[in-house]
Amino acid sequence: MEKLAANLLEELNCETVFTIPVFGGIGVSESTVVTWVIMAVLTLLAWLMTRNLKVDHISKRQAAIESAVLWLNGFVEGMIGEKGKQYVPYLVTVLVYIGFSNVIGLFGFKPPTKDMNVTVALALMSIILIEASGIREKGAKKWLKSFAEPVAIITPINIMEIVIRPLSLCMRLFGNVLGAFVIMELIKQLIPIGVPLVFSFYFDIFDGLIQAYVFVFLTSLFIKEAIE
Amino acid sequence: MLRLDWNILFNIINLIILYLLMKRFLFKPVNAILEKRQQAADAQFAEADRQKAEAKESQEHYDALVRGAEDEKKRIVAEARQEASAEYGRIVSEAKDKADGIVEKAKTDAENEKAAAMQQADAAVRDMVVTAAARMVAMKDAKESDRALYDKFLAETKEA
Repeated sequence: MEKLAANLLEELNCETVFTIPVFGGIGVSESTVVTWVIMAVLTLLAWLMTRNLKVDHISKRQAAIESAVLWLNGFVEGMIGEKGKQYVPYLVTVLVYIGFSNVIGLFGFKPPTKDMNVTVALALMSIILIEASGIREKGAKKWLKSFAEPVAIITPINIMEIVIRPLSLCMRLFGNVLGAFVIMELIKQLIPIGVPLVFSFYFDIFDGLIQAYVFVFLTSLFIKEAIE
Repeated sequence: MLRLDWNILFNIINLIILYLLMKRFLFKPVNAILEKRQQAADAQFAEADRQKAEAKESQEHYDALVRGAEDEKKRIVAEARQEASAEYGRIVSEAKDKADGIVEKAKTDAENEKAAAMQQADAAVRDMVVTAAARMVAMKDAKESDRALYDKFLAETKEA
């Protein structure tokens, strides 16, 4: 039991990979480094898949990347609406990144989304995008006024939402991934053979992708609300 | 795990860089090729429309030509018919004139001949009368031969 707890803590702990020796040492955590790996892999994949694109007589590779991009674009556009078309590439990027991060546990990395720094970063970006899209669409004055809509009395609630929305986004993602991770680690510690495979399908793949979807879905919903 | 630090900033930077990378290496080329294909398809449709319009135009042109030819043919045939009938009339009238002329001439000729014959007969009768008169005058001297002369005259007249 002692050993199990120690192992679990060891797995949960997000290690500092290296320290930048300025301002008394800035620790660069594992999640950041794994994100770099994901970035490199995604970029390499994108580059490999989009080489020699042709107008007709396309290769299977091109057909695959085209339909993937079209599907993702259509998927996000369906949630955000025609007006938010310009935010689709960012949201698709986030969707792919979170999806990839959540299932990277299968390849032996610690999912970056298990580190709250990553989910906070994602949520901050989301709330900045949501409010910026509102300001861009309505103008600063109307955007400020929109806090008092539909009735003036809910203004404090609307203002609180600026904090609540990203907080809930980040906590939901973090909690889900962390929870899944903890359960998977427990199962692995208890019964290392066979059983983890079954649960892994749910916790590592299904839940991970669902959380990516939920995060992007909520962000697009908020953006849609802001630009309407 | 629950520690918040500089890594938030790092991850925000990571996200922005990843977004830019994806935009550059995924969305840009794919959208460009989709756009290009759309343009190619549009161009093909426009080309097809253009060719259709062209074909219709030439069809109309040839229809008009054929119609024109038909009219022209009708006109030529009518003209030819008119000309032919005019020529026919002219020829017929000419022939008629000629025939009339010939008949007239024949008539005149016949009359002239008749007149000439009459004149000739007249002259012959006159001659005979003169001859007879001369003979009679001559016979006065030879009454004896009157009978013979008369017979001779009769014989001569019969001969004539």
